[in-house]
Parts: sequence; C-alpha cells; structure tokens
Amino acid sequence: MVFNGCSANEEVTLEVLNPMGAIMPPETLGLAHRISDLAGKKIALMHNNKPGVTNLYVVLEELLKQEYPGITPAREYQAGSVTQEREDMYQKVAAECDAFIFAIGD
Amino acid sequence: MQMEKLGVPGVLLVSSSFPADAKSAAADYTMPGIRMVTIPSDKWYRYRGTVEEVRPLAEAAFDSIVDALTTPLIPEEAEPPQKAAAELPPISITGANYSDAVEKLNESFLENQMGDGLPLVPPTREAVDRMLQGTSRSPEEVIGKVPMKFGIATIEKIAVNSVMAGAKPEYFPVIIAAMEAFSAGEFWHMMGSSGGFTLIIMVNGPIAKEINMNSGIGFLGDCWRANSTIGRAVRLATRNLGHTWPAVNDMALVGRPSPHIFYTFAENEEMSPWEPFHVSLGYEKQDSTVTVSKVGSYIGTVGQKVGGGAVATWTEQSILDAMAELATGRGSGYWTWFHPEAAQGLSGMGFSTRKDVQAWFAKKTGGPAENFSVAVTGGVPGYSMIWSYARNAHVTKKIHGATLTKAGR
Repeated sequence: MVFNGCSANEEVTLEVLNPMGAIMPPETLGLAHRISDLAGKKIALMHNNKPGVTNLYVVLEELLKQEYPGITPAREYQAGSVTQEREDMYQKVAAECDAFIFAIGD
Repeated sequence: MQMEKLGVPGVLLVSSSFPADAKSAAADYTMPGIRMVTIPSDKWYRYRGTVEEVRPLAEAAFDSIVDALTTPLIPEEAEPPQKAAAELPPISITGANYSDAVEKLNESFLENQMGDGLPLVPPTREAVDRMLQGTSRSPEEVIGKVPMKFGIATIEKIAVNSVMAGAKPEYFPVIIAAMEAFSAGEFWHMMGSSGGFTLIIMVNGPIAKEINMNSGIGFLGDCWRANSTIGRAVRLATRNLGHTWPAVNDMALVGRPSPHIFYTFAENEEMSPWEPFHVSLGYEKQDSTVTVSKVGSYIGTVGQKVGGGAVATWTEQSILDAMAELATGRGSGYWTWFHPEAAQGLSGMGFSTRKDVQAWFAKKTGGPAENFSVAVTGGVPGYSMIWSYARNAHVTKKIHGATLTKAGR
C-alpha cells in the first residue's frame, strides 16, 4: 500500500522524488593518435604545481634520455594550478611538442 | 584534455587514490578514455620528497608511461560511444511499516550517494509541494548549474533537497537564493579540492529575524532550525545536484568544517552601528539577501580569533592590527567580522561606515579596499574573527519570491 497514515504495522511504500540534478552529458571525444616511437620527439612534462612532481620528473627525464636517443623532455610548459589554467600554454604545447605527460601531484 | 583535443597524445600520472576523481573529471570534460598511469599512494606521498626516494616509483611507472604514449588506440578510444542523459525517475521504497520504510529510504539514499549520513526526511510529492508553497517561483525555473558535474538546479530539485534537510517552507526562498549565489560563482574548486574548503552563508535583511535565524551567541552553531536546515539544504543540494561524493570527486582529505550545515547565520544588524552589510553593497534596507563565500578549511586559513571573548581583554585597535597582520594574501578577499562591542567601539572612534573600515585596511595592508568584507557577527561578549575567501567565489543574491514571509517577496 501507499502510505496514507494508516496503522504502523501495515506495509508501507514511500514514493519520493529523485534529489539528483539532471546532467546533459557533454559530447564524448576520442583521444589523439599516439606516436609510434619517442626517439627524437619533444615531450612536454607538465604538472599542477604540487610538491614532489619536479623530483619525479628529474628521474623520468633521465630515463627518457637513456632509452630514446634524441628525445627532448621539456619542463618549461606549465599551465599552472587547477584554478589558474592557461589555455595559451596548451596551444603552445600543441604547436611545439609531439606528446605530453601531465602529473597530478595531489 | 585540452591538449588531446588539439591533437597531442598524452598520459596522466595520478596517485592510486585519485583515479576515480580523474576519470570523473575526464568524463565531465568530454574525454572519459584519457590514458592514466597510477603511482601507489602509500609510496607517492611519502617518497616524493627527494629525487633518490622517488626514483623507484618513476622506474616502476616508466614502461606504462611509454605504452600510454605509443600503443595505438583501440576503436573505443578513437571513437568512444556518446553518453545519454541519465533518467532520474521517482523512487519507490517499501517497508514492513512506516518506520521501516523510512529506514530503508535512508539506507538506499546513502548507498546511491544521495544523502549526508544524517537521517533524511522523505521527499514525497506532498512534502515537496508543501515546500514549493514557500515561493511564487515556478518549479521548472532553472537557477543555474551545480559543480562538480554541473547538474541542473531547478526550483523543484532544490525543494526536494530542502525537504530532505528538514527545512520549513518559510526558509525556502533563502535556500534558493543561496543556491543562486553558489551557481553564479566559481565554487567547483571548493567542492572537490583536497584542501577541504567550506562555505559561509550569511543572511541579511528583515527575513532573517522573521524566520528566527541566530545572529547572536552561538551563531555558527546548532540548535536554531533556520540556521541548521538552510545550511543542510544547501549542503544536500550541492552534493546531489552536483553529483559529488567523498573520495570519488570530493577529495577533501580531512573533510570540511561544519560539513552538514556549513557556516550558516545572519548578520547581527540590531547590534551593528553600521548600515547592514547588504545595504553597503547597494541593496535597499528592506531587501533581504544571502551572501555565499568559499572559505578555508581545518588545514588552511580557517577563521581566526583576533580579539574579544569572555576571557582576554582587547581594544578596537588591537583587533584591527591583528586582522591587518593576517591579511597578507594579495589575491584573497577577507571577511573581517567584528563582534558588536568592537564594531560599536570602532564607530565611536570615527569609523562611521563599513567603507571607513575597508579604507583603513587598504591603507594598512596595501590591498584594495574591496578585498575586505566587513560584518558584525555574534553577541555580547563575542569574538572578532578574520577569514580569507576566494574573490571569485563570494556572491550576494537578493531573496525574492517569498510567499509565507513579509520579507523577501
């Protein structure tokens, strides 16, 4: 039965409204095509300004240079923290780099 | 995501505590399939401090990073399926009796990430219609979108959450205005940041007294239904309309202060020597408003006492000086809250308006006067306090459409 204030021992069904907000899903996009090899490529090493990422990138840069001749790991492309993102920097990476690594330091 | 959209392949490195958050954000920003490599949380936060300590983590992740950049895309990555809008139909819950049904509803809502851990009032059609009687505004009216997933906030959806919070219909116009303010500012960072920011919700104007909001001793506390349930309604509406959940896309590591009701109160206009806060913004005295601000957390610049109270002695000048010393962030706004005795003392010293106080802070700190919001809070005795707030998440909205109160119509 639907609850209507009847006896406390009768089965009760509560019909309630959904509290969640409707979401219009954004268009889902595909990823960019991968590169076949890292040798000779320029790779942007980016992060969100959190501690420790620069240490990680020191090691990654070493490893990339060891494994891939002619590779250019580039740490000068920083877009800032999540509250200070810079679209111009993304455009610069797209124009000048072949791939990117983005470390979320949180 | 922006760079992938521009045709540059990439990979995200995230700790193993954040993939759910990262995937959620990636989906919100059009690219749910973005490639990620995780680094174990139990090691990342402890061993990122030096190059040598972090070396094993980088070495362990290296092959996966290279694979993410070079392994050709599978069809689902190149052309992912489009998502359809989720249906949000009414919910039906049956119990052996009324109490059992309410208990089952509470369990179900929490399991489906639609509660706050405290008992909820069932949002039946009847109860929601009763809430809607508190406003003349259309239930279908859209007042904005709510982060993190930018769910659509309609008047009816806010009413559903207000019922769940235990609010009275008389409070509903205040809740709507608070949600309008929240939707209008940049509050997404407050909802998801690991720092655990929280909200100040300050009500001004005659509606505060009419609905019996606490503005005196204990104004940030509990036991006032209006303060508690207005704040709780906003809390539930931000969670449910924004589809936000702890450790999924709300990463507040230690939670946030006053998590169930935020800091919801009314300015103490009766004991203030100055025009009400909202009047200083250009509103009429008979208007009622809500101001919503993103402020610091347990671990950040939570409100700090700078003078007053029942124990220590203070002077107006010592309070001003202490606030100026703490107001060092040039990019921040500052709430400077004066307890009534301090405000009255300042008035006697020649600070005739809030603008005079703002001007003093500007001169003392070198920051712009508009960075300082001045309010009179609490009772006698009271504490004066300073809070930093984000200037892009500090919004005042006028309350309107009220039908059950004289104010806010």
